[in-house]
Amino acid sequence: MENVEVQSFLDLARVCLKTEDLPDSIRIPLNTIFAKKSGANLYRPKIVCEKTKGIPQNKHPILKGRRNSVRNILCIWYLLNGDTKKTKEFLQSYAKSGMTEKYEQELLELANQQYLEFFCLGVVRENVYEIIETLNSSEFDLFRDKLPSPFFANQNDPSDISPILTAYSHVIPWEDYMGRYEEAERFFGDKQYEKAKEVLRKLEEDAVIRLPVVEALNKKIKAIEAEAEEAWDYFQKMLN
Amino acid sequence: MKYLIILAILVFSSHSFAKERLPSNCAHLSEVSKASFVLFNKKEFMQLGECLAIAALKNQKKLDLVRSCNEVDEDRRNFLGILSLSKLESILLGQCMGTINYIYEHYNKERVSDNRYRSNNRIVYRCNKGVKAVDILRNIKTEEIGREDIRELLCDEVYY
Repeated sequence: MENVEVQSFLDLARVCLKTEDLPDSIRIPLNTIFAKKSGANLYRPKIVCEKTKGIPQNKHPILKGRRNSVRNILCIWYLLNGDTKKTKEFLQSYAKSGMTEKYEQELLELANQQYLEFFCLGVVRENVYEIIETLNSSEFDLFRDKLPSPFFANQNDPSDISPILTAYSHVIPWEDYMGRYEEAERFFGDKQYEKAKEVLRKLEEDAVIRLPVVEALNKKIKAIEAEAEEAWDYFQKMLN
Repeated sequence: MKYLIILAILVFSSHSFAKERLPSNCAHLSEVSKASFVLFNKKEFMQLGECLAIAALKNQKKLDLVRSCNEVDEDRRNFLGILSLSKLESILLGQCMGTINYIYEHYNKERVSDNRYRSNNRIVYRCNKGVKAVDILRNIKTEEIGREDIRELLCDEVYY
């Protein structure tokens, strides 16, 4: 009993994602990765203690000191576009020979393909590079150490990965969001700030999730308006 | 970046040397609306500044030229030049340039009409322009200054 973590992998996932309720869209893949033995003979022994019996609440306890593997696997699974089979293959390959060129390419390619969602959720390309670099490092052990977060740094919690929950608990019309955001950006480019603000306001109202890009553009418009206000005040003072 | 700085200097000097480029028609000054302030580009703000300066000088109003001309100087030293100017800074910069150009246009080579020189009508003003004029105005000790004082600072009285 001393060689296993008290919390189950689902408990640990709930902590990482800051929720009390894991949606099936995340719970089922995690079960497949941690509990199913098929296609897991190389990585599973490094994470799950298979010998412990008689804990009805926790049939697949995580080995002591390996709790970070749950967080890391969530990140990898997310970056691999939620493809559970591919995630298992990656874990097998990593357990056998560490990070390989093949998966490096795969992660980069998927980052490009998922640009809509990544863009809206604030996944930063540099962070994906950093994750790949970390995976390549000989010092790093995916089953023990903590991967950096792929998300744009949350000031209070730089390693926050909870946006994964957002992405998987709603059906999100990424293309619609992106289209509307781009419309706002076009208005912004044409200096039609009032129209841009209106599009952004409606988008924020409709969006089921927080959209960092919308907040960033709004901030830019506010800065321009404040600058114009300052110049206008001076102009008025000079005229009168 | 070098080119940017050269460009900024060129823009500046072309304003100082070419008399006809002075915004002689500052009609837009009275038509400017608040909404247009988000739309104007830096060059338009500078022109607005020039017009403000000309209007002030014509109406015998005083100007804070130290602030304005320091903006020209900063712009000259700034690596990014004109790109980093805010809207207000562009207006200020335009005011400095507008003042120098206005004084130059009105007084350079003009005969000094002063009672002191009634007997000698071969005395004219020779006014400074460009960087030298900016440096003179930056070093004024008073905060606000009127047209006659500006002319005194920028123009020398010389024999024709």
